Amino acid sequence: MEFGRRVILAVGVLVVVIAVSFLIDTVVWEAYLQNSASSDPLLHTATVDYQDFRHGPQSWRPYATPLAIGPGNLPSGNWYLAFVELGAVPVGGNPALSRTGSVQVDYRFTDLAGTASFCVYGLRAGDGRAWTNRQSGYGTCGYYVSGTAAPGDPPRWASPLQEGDRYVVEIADPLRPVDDDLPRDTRTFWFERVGSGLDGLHITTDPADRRGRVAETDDLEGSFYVTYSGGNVVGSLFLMVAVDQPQPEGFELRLESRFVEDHR
Amino acid sequence: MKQSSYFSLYEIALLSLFGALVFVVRMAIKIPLHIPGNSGVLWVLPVIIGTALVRKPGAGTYIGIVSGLLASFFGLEALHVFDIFKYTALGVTIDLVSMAFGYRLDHPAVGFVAGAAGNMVKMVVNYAVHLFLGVQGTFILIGIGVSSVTHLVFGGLGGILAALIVGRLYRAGVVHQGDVPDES
Repeated sequence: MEFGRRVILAVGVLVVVIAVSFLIDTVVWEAYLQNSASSDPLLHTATVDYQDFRHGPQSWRPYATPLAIGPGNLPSGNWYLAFVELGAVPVGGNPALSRTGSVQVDYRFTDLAGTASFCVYGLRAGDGRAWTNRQSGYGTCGYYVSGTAAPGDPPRWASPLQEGDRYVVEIADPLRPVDDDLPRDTRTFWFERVGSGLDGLHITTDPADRRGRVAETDDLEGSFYVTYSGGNVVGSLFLMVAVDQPQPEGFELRLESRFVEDHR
Repeated sequence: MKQSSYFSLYEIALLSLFGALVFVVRMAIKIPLHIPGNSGVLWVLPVIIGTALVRKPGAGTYIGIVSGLLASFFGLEALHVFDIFKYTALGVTIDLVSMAFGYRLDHPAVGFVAGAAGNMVKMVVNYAVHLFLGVQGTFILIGIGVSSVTHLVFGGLGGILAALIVGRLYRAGVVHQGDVPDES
């Protein structure tokens, strides 16, 4: 075959690959729209009870250097920590070229004693490096809920995390084994260095305010958004729920999370 | 009896340097365009030039493997050890295109095809690895149409640039087509 024909054939193959890509794009997009119209297939639910606070008491939360849990810069208080996978991830990047969006989290507390603090942790797709929301300086964000229930007994099953840059945390799982001797689901958060991994994920009550802010409320039922302003792929997203009092047996936190597309 | 290797020592050194150059270019130069595949304009350059200079089947693959190994173990990209698949796929593709066109990589049209094909195959492997790692397919596959076009454009541009460089090297007599010196 002469040279010119080979070039034309090769360009033709590339055009066919692009056509197939657009076909896949269209099919997936239509399937997504159909599913979105019929119900909410991306809705993820989770429940946290008083036994899910597996870490603590401690004054700080995981990062390359200990971060405060309550409002303010300095770690203080005795907090118990639980981690929940949200089942959806926020998507950042160029909104002209990809579907960017946030994760909406609806929460409902029952019998909350003291203050609950929500923080987010994200794992990069492909490795253990993690992000979390900023606790101090420009871009500080968080969400705090106060309750009035009487505190319960200190959880005998909880133990503090070890300080470092790598943390193995237990994940609250609705399908967890009843037998406490069986191992629980764990994830490893790794923070490469101080200063890194703090400016990707944010908590906000208004998705238009993507950098987020600190919100404090007495409402035991409400919602907030987890936004992402980075360019990498968030593989999985976790919510850390910390409480500054041992919770009573009637405590329950019901979470519903879903991906919501940006409308910009 | 001394057994001669497929690549001479000179060629191995050259290909390894080009493999390292792919890694260095990828790590050192960030184009803040936020357009999928924009880095392809840079990283197909060393692969195509190296393949054009050595002119042996497997040269592109060798460069891909070297850069993939470097990126897997020393890189800062999200996929880490899985990066080796996309770098190798890019090298294999450029190898195949080069063979199909008789190593006429100094021709801009061949450069375009090699660069575009390499960058697009890299994209496909990237998607496959993300799906394998459990990222939700819906979020990856929506937008693949536009993404494939941008990969084609940037890879093709890089390929044309590489072809122009190779052509100038040939014409300047720095290297001769099919005349890469042996180690002897």
